Amino acid sequence: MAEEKKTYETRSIKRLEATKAASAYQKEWFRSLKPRVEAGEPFALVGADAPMEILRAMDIPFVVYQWWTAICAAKQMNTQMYGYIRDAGYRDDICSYCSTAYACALDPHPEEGPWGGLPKPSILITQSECSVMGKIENLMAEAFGAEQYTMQRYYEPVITEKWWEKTIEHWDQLANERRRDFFERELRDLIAFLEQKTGRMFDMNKLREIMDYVNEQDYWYRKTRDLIAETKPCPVTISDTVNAVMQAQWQRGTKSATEHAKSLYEEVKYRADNNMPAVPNERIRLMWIGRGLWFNLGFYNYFEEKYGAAFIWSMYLGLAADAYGRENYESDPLKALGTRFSMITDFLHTPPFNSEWFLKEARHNQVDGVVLLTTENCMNNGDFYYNMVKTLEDNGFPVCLLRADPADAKKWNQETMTAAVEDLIVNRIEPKLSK
Amino acid sequence: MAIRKQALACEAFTKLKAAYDGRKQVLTGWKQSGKRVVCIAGYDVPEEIILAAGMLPFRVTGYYGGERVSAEKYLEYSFGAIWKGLWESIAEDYAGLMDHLVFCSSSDMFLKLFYYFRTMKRLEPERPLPDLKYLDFELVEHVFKTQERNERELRDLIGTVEGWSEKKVTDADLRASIALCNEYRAALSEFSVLRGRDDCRVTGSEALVVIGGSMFMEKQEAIDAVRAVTGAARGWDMAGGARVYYVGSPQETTEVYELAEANGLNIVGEDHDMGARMFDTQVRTDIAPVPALAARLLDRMPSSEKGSIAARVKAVGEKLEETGADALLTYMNNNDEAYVWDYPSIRKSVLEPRGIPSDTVQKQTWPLTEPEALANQFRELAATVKEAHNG
Repeated sequence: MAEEKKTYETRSIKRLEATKAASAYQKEWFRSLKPRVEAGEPFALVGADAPMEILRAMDIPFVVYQWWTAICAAKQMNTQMYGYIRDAGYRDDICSYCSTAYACALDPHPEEGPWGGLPKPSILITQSECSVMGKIENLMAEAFGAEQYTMQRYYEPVITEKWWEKTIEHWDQLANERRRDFFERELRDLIAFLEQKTGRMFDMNKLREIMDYVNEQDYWYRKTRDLIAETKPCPVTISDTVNAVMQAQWQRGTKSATEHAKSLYEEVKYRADNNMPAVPNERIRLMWIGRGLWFNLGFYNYFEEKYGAAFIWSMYLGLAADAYGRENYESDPLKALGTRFSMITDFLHTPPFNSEWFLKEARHNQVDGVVLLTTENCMNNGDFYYNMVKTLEDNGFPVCLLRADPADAKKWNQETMTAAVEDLIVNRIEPKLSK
Repeated sequence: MAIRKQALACEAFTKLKAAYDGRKQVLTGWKQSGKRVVCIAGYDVPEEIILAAGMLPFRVTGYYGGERVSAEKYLEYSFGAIWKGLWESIAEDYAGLMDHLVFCSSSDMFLKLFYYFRTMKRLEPERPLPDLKYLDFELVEHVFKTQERNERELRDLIGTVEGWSEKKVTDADLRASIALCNEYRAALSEFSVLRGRDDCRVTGSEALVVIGGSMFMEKQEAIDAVRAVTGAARGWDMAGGARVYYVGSPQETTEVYELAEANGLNIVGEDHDMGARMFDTQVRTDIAPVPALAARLLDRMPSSEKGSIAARVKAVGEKLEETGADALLTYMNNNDEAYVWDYPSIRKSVLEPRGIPSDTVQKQTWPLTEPEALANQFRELAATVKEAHNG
């Protein structure tokens, strides 16, 4: 499958070795994965909310299918992919973020996909965050011939104030006991399923080792996030950090991912110490809320050059810093892990968890304005944007809402979207700065 | 077609229609007469528990009286017509009328609305919002832990309504309310026989009025009214039109059904909870009340939004058979489109082997923006059915 050519520059400027290293590692990991799968090893396709640490502890390789969407989008392959879905009688204009892997199952030439294509999974593990996702997963499992295992969800009955102050040291204060118990049981049930399906035994000591690595990895992410937040002009932008973090998070809980997180910090620190700003004329700092604009990561660079406006914050690093680590887990690793995998969605998508965290991060990162990408064709879209915008704007952070599909380029209008961000910069941020 | 003179001449039907058309007046009347009411947003909240506590359940539906100004202000575009209507009712139209509101997990959107209103209480504390409760049932996975989980949620609800009503709910109370609700569902099932192939005496829109109107009455009154209509309708003229089974977005008013009827169709069954799905399963009486209520949650027809594709294929196949429908209509509101992922499998496994025509209506809004296009689609489906019948 050929990459589609665009009339605008879609590739971002990559300043960091850590970004290149993350991509190189993933490619190599993929290359090593294929023969393992072909030799009959289990391979799991999982939803972004699945507890990957359990799979890692059982040495079951996995791919997060929403992340796979991001890879396909970055390679400009998604529009063609959605054509396979249309040809099979489905709508090609909805649910793109969750349907790419299904499209891969329908691709007559899967080996031409990114990095040699997605190997055929034998297991599909999901939490079915929304009903549509559940149905697409049904189709995916059938098309790949994979066994589907769906973990149950449970709503968030209590509002944890300042959740980010509790996640790492005081995770036992997140949610309530019923919910914590509920997700621990879900993890135990998943382990039982995987043991039966694969014949591999779960090793609690291995999980402890993985959680230690995750804690260390996220320690480096916190340091990196804090360094970025406090350094003006900023040594890096999200063009540098999004891929570096997301791809390493794919390998979360390994020695290599931990070392990569450390190297990312050291590289950013070097740039900060040696006065190497990413945008030398930085005047404006922007926050990007929402999924990465995977097919057009070059979008951000335009505003750097023209306005000195640097996108310095995205959820990928922010969330890695605040939401993943779990210290003091020793007595109850599964319960601690349960509070992580079950709550990421709440932190990002449930009011008021999301709005209060975004406000905290906007302040900490000294941003001047916010661009909020709302995913146009996602049936599960609904983070209470009214509340998010009000919370941010009432506290002095003007917000521009972009309505687009971050996975499928075919409806993207570069001109309109550029104009919307320019409007934020020129009409709402610059007048404030000039006062 | 649509709602016929014969129906309007029936006293029980007009009573049901008054309740159907005047939902807010019903709630206001109950409140004014000192009745204690628990409002419901969700298709799986067991009314039996509310009744057992000596309170009245009231289903909150959408606002259809004009522009949904509040919903447009607060909700993002991903909320379809049903959900915007529901927001408008809760936030504005019924403001001050509701003391307690129970959401449940029948749809992902009920959870979102629960979270949004919970946040609204912090954001705008002066807004008159009711006490909120959410019941997180698992409705898809049929395993033992689901039964346990759902029983726990039900016991939680019992505790909550006991607090609201200041009345202890006993097993005897629950058994009595289960018996009453089973009788109510049985009355509706008996009425639905009149939508059958051999003796179709009611139109889809008449059925919506009877089923929906009965939701906004006290149970015994509803049972009596439904039975009276059933008796009368046996003498009504046969309802014509191509027989269609409907899947997809709930219809809270008769507008779409009436449009279908005006264009040669008659909807003889549906999988939404303003219609036949609402009463399709009884609560067992041979086991303890709470386990029986929990069992019903999983025994119901899998909903078009939540059910797995395999379960939906099976259920829709059965319903087509049961209702003797000549065609399948899939109707989806904009951004309410989980059903779109079922349809190709249903077509392949059910419709094509049986030679059943079908049509899919997508991206619908309220008010209908293109009623003529929709009417055309209905006419074409009616013509296709006719053609299929003529061989």
